Amino acid sequence: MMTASARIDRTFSALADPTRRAIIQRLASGEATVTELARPFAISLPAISRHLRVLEAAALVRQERDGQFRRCRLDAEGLQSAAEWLDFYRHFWGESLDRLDEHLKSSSSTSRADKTKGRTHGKRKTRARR
Amino acid sequence: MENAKPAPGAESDLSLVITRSFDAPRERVFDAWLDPAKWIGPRNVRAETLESNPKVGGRYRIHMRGTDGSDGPIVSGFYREIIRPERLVFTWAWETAHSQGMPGDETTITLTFRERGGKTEMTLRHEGFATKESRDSHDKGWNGSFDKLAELLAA
Repeated sequence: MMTASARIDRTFSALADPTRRAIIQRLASGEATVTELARPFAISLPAISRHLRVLEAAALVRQERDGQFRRCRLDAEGLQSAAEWLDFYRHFWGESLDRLDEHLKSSSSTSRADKTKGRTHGKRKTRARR
Repeated sequence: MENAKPAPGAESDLSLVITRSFDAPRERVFDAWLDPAKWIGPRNVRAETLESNPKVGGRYRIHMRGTDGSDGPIVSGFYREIIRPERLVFTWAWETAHSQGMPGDETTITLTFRERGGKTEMTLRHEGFATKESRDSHDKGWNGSFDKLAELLAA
């Protein structure tokens, strides 16, 4: 089983190529055969196929047989893992830093505590998620 | 006006960036990071320090238990840079299976602390790539296309 960061790593490696990014952008406007995908590029069909295999391994593109043709379309899964990673840590660090803020206030000297009392409370929106 | 909310990340290169201002001197905010079990984790987490060796190359291990007494994952890593009170870099990896990573997945956290009118502006950057090598293997030119691509896929 591939780990989350290995998946993300693979997604980003796959996208680190201008031809593959162009393929993705072409597929964003609808599915296409390998021949159709190869047309705008000055490279061979086997070369396009190699790029497609990389994109497929990164869960960015899916290929399906349609008679003698192979049809390609986008697969959102590859970017999904990256988005989930960001969401998880945005929440994790958001709440951690709220707690750090409270920790710094509670452990500060009493004079400082008096000075800052009531200043930040209620001003910051409480995070709804738990 | 001071905004204490985490800023949305500039994550086009898949790193999460959060900037926060704390009403405390840099040293205190920095030191709190060397003893994070007191505050780290969401509110339903009560962290416990298992190991703490805050020097370059030193290791930390934190057990994230639930406030309800339930067991939770262990996170650990190594300190890469400790420049008090300006900059702190350490690795971050879940030792036990976790929804956002399996054992061994190493990520990097870089913290910078700036003095701003008696307060501390801290920037946290959490990078989803383990090593500088793996980051450098990625084409810089693709930075910025991620957002566009995500839009395309969402359309």
